[in-house]
Amino acid sequence: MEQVFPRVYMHDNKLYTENTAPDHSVYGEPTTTVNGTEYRSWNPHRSKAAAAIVNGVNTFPITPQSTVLYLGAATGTTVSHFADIAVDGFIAAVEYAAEPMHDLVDVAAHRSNIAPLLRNARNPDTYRDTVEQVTVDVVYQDIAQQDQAEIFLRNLQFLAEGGTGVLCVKAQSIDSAAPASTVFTQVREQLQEQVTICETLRLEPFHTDHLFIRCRKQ
Amino acid sequence: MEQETRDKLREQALTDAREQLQEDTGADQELIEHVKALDELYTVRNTVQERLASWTQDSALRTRLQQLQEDVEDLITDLETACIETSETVMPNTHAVLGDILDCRILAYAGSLEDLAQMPSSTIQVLGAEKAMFRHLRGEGKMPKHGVLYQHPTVHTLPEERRGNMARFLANKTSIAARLDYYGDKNRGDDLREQVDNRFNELQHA
Repeated sequence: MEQVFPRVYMHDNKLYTENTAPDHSVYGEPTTTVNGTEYRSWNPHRSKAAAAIVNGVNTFPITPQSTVLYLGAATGTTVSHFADIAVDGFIAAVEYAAEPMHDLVDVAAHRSNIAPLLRNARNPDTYRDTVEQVTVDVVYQDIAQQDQAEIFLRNLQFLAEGGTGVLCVKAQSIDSAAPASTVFTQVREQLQEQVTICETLRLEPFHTDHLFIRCRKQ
Repeated sequence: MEQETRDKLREQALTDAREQLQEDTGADQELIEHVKALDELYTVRNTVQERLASWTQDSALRTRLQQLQEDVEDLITDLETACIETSETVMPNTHAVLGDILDCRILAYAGSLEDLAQMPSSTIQVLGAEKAMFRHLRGEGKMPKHGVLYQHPTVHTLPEERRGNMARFLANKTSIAARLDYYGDKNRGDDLREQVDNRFNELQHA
């Protein structure tokens, strides 16, 4: 079990995080026990963040101390791995739809560092009172909507200057007809006003026409 | 930044999320579950009855099947009651127009009250006859005049050549009712039902 990033491990060419809710599998993922510690398999086909790591992202922004604003938490699969990593940190998980929120609440109940929020990420005012109680180091967004870039920009207000933003861009959601590279260029331009882009990375073969953008707030 | 703040924040968030999830459970979805279960139970009831009819040999297992028959019957009654009571609360206008259980069936075909309210009445007219409809669109057979609305007493009682007219009229009124139920809080159900009954009478004696 080799550590590739703080609390992120690789074994047999597979990615793992340490299970902070032992004997409990979040989404039926396989677990492995090595030297008495239980690890949960982190599937790059399901999780954009895992795909980014497997594809060789230079810096992975989620650390054991990170406080994360996670937009588009869905059923909590990626959130659970972030929570395994950020043991001294915290994750505010925003999800708009009730169905996945049922699962997200279960995930949050089994870990001590996740707060689920049934809110619309387009309206940051609706969770301002909660989020402003903590200092957000990372804003991570994975929302497949046409205005995903706008949503991201609107949520950067919670991020301190110099903080890290991660946006998983799905080209098809923005413009299903245009070539992905065109869409990515447009998004990059949109973001330039508020952030400095540090790294971008395609997520093939795990996710088609997706771009992982890591940036820093100006 | 304090662990205590985070813990409180998380506790509050969990409580809030759970509360919101409770409220948001679509009552129309509940109805659809009920009516689907009901239709399945009707089949079970028949199947069990048939089996018991040809099962002559007495045995402990036969007795258990008889018990099942009773239990199924009770569950059917309870589900029917639940459907009627819930639909009166959730969609009073539609319930007034379509009557017991049929209102829930239409809802099930539509998928949700929102969908039922937004779809054209021509769609409502043929909900349940999709097989016939698409077959017609592909070139075979006539366009169906009615789907599950056939079950309404005003439709299947009429002579064949008048049923299409009645089904269309009923579908139109159902549209109005569904929109009242979804968007508004008025109850014009009785008035709408009266219009349906009047039309039925006209068609019966034409």
